Amino acid sequence: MMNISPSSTLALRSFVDDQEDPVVKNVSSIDPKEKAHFEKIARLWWEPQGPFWPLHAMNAFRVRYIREQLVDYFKKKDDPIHLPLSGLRCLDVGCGGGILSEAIARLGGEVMGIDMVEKNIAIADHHAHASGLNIHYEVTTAEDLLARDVSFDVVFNLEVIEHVAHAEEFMQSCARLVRPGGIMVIATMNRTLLSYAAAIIGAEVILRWLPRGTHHWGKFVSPSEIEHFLVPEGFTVIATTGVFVNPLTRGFRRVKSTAVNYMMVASKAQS
Amino acid sequence: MGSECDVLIVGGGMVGATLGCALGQSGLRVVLLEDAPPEPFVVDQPFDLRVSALSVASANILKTIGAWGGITRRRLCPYRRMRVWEDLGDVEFLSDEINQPVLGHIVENRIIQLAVLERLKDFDNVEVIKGVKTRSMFYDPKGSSVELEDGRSLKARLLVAADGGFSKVRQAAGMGVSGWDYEQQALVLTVETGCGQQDITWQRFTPNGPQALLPLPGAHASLVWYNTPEEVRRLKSLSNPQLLEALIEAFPACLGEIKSITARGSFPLRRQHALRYVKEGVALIGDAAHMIHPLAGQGVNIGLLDAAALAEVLLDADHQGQDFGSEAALHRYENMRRRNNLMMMTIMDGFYRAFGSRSVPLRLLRNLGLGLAERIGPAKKMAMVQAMGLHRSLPRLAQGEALIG
Repeated sequence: MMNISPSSTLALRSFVDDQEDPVVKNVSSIDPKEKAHFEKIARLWWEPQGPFWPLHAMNAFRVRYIREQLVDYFKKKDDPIHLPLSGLRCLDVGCGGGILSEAIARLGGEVMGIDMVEKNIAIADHHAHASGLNIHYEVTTAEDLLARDVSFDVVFNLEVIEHVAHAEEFMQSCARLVRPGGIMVIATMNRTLLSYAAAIIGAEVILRWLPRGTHHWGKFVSPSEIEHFLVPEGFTVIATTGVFVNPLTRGFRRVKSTAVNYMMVASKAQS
Repeated sequence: MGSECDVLIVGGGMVGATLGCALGQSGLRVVLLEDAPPEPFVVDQPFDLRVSALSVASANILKTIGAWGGITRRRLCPYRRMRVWEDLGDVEFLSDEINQPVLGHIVENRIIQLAVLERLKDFDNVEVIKGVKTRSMFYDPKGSSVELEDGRSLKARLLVAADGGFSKVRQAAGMGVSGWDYEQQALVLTVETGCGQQDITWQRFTPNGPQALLPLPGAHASLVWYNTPEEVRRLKSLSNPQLLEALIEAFPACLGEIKSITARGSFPLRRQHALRYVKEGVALIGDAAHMIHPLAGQGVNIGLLDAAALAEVLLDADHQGQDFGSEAALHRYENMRRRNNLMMMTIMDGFYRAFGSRSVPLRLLRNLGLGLAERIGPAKKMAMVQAMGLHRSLPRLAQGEALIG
């Protein structure tokens, strides 16, 4: 049994990004032909057996962890009558087709989802409307958002850092988007021999769950590096868990070892 | 007037009502439609013909949702032994062998249904609409609507078909089935026996079809006589004393004295399996998903497992912020149940074919099989564990684990 990164939003993003369309700035004013195209891809994004299945499987696992952590940290009521994340302003960085954003919105969060890929935002926007969810999606980056002087209770930083060009600057921007007393949730892959075997040889070459070239091992980030980026911004790591992927059952579970996939929660000091 | 809900369960039989209870106290708004509510139970009323052999897993489900008390308050008959034989092979299963107090319980279907419907009243998030038929159903992946004969209309994110083998919901959703009628019918008789309450069920295989005895509370039993439709018709036309005579002649003497027949009926047997259990916005459970040969009494048991699995999947999805009516969420339910149910149906078919044959090699083989089952401990235990629904990977409710709280 080995650990494998089941997927990465960015890698899958490139899948829908094959034919680059002219930049669509205002997604509500897209023409009907565009819309039909988005609808087709949106269906693909949200198909349980489609090319994005690892994301769906992993998202369910992650949301359970996130829900626990947020309820605990923000001392939220968690019962059938109250939505556990109600009132929390959340930012989903690299939201892709909106799989995480929708789950967080359903649990009561006020969600903003950002992505650099216009098509993803169009897909996410289309699907949220069809699902009757109120999520604000925008084509932008963490860096640009920071210039607008906004902040959030929670910033989700899932499977993005291992794909960006300048990890430190990126983490700094994300950190500054968290309000004092807020938290950041990170999910990524460690840079170990095991993660090379699992994510690149296992998931891409043997199992072919992911397209070849999805990951660049050299860009993987260790938990201590994340901590190193966040501490100067006033953060304290409050929880870390390893994530084990069973390639046979495609099941996910929490483990102690953070050698391959891991999740981390860090809180920002009050002032 | 239209009203909206999260889950609309069409059909308040044993399986539909169990799903309703399993979703009780959750954040989901549930409506259950039962167009023909059962007659209330009166102490000392005659036994109903329709009875089920509830497995230990089924009992776990009913206990966990809080409906078991409603059954024990009425009546039931536990059994600790099960004997299966043909002319040569013979095997007896004992609950002691797998360290269980019982192998199962024989309960009248109506009592199970009444107990579960009664329990439903305790849940504020579940509304039961009784005695009103549906006028029309319109399936829409994003939210279906059902119009009732009293003019009310209901909209639901998820439509659950718990409306039996000829499910209207399944039809409205355009979901196909494969199936055929068995060339056998079941003649069911309630009899009074000369011995007191028994704790053994037995099944004997004959070339014309199996015969079975299920013990009922007191000196009563339910006899099931599977036979060709012609023979069942002939037997049904006999007077009680004549039928009793035919019975005594056909059934083995070692069962003890059969004094009289108190009720009789017959049922055609059909095998049917839905090609898919789910589509976005709709899920099939119980007989709407599968009709199975009643030989080993597994129909209700697999139906209750469906209800337990679907409840688990819906509540998990809701907990994870997933759209519980989406295909992605519902697919997990189909994965949990369809393959298992298919296996159970195939095993029943195997019994039906293997034991229905007069061919000498097959007869030798199956006698040998029964003989071996008696002698090989682990194989026997495994067969028992399967038949009792105690194998691993059961829905949480069937393991006695509550889904809420």
